[in-house]
Amino acid sequence: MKQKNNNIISEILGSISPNEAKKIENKMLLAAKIDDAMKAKGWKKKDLMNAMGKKNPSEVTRWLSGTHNFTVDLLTEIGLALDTDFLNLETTSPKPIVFHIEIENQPAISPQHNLVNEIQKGYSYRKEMLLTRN
Amino acid sequence: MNCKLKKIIELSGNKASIYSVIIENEQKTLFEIFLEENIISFKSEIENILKRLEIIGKKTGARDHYFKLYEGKLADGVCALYDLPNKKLRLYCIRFGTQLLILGGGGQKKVKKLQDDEKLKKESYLLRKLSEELTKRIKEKDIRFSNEGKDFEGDMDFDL
Amino acid sequence: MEQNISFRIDGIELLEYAIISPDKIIEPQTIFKFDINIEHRFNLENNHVFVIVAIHIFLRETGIKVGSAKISCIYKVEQLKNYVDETNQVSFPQDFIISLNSISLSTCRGVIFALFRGTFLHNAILPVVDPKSFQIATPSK
Repeated sequence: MKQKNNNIISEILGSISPNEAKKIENKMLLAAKIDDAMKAKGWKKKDLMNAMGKKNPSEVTRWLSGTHNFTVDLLTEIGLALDTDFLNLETTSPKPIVFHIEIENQPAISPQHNLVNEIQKGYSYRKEMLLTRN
Repeated sequence: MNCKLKKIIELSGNKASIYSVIIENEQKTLFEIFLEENIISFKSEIENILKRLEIIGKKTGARDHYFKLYEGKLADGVCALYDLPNKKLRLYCIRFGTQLLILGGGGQKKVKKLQDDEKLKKESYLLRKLSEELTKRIKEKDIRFSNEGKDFEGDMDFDL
Repeated sequence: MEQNISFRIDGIELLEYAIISPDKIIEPQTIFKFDINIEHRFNLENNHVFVIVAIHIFLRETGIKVGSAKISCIYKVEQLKNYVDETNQVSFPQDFIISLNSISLSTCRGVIFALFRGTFLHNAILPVVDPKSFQIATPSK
């Protein structure tokens, strides 16, 4: 019976469906992300308003409140204005890995034309081999 | 009247500590009373408010854009958790940066009955007095911040 | 754990090349210095691994750059996404990395020879490199 008093908070929190909980969380996180993007650009609410051609400052306040249910279009527009991707739709590739080395070549002992002779000799030798085999 | 600060552990987390206030000899905090008063008539709003507070405590901190100033001057830190125009409830709080939040009470907004408006006025007034006293004690170092700015410590018994 | 990774080469692309004539005549005995960068890039959708080899050729004596080439060897690796870890990084077994790098270097050796033959860089043949001796550099963006 004591349960009535303590834990009305836990009780209510526990009764929220996971669907509903996630919806609320996403709205809060999106608002935080927009605020971060504004801060990164050093923008105040009116800068964002101007960039998007909005006249009503309470619109931006609503976007940042953590209660707004954004449309894809609105998120796209805000993203363009703030140079940020709020939709994250393209899969990101893994990071590149880079290897590096410096090396010197060993100069050929004999001049170039001798090498060519050597190759040719090898070729003739093989030809003879083929002839004798048969 | 005598008040005490009480930390709400169900909502507090890594990003913010959330407190409320116990008046006189009550068993429950102002916030819990607010919940009880409104859970039946405004269940989904109460759920929404509670969940948002949990996210504030555990994931995002008490970012300023989640709150709105209604009554009270800018300096005293008294604000309300943002409520959309079509929502019925308002909850008053005191913000100390993004890591400390004190929840007061609240009630229905702009209702015809004078007494409901009066209720809101009363709640916000109480919180403003509390905020004044808190600020004074912080200045005089009777109350300090601990845990990297996430908690209060010191004399948390007030007579308002 | 012996893993036989199934892969094949899908293409070779010559991305850039340059030949910069020095003031002096280049003797056949000239020693060249090769600065080699190998970058592995990934396209998970198509299971492609791009091994991009960038080679800069210098005269060892003077340090002057005399040539460069950037060649991409494109490999198809089956189930590439299986090698991606939680931090979105690709982690291949060491042997496989050695194979990829070796095959790519040898391919580049051929491409560079074909590119620069008949020029003063005719003898600037990419040396045989021990693939284990590569240092891992911080990836460029």
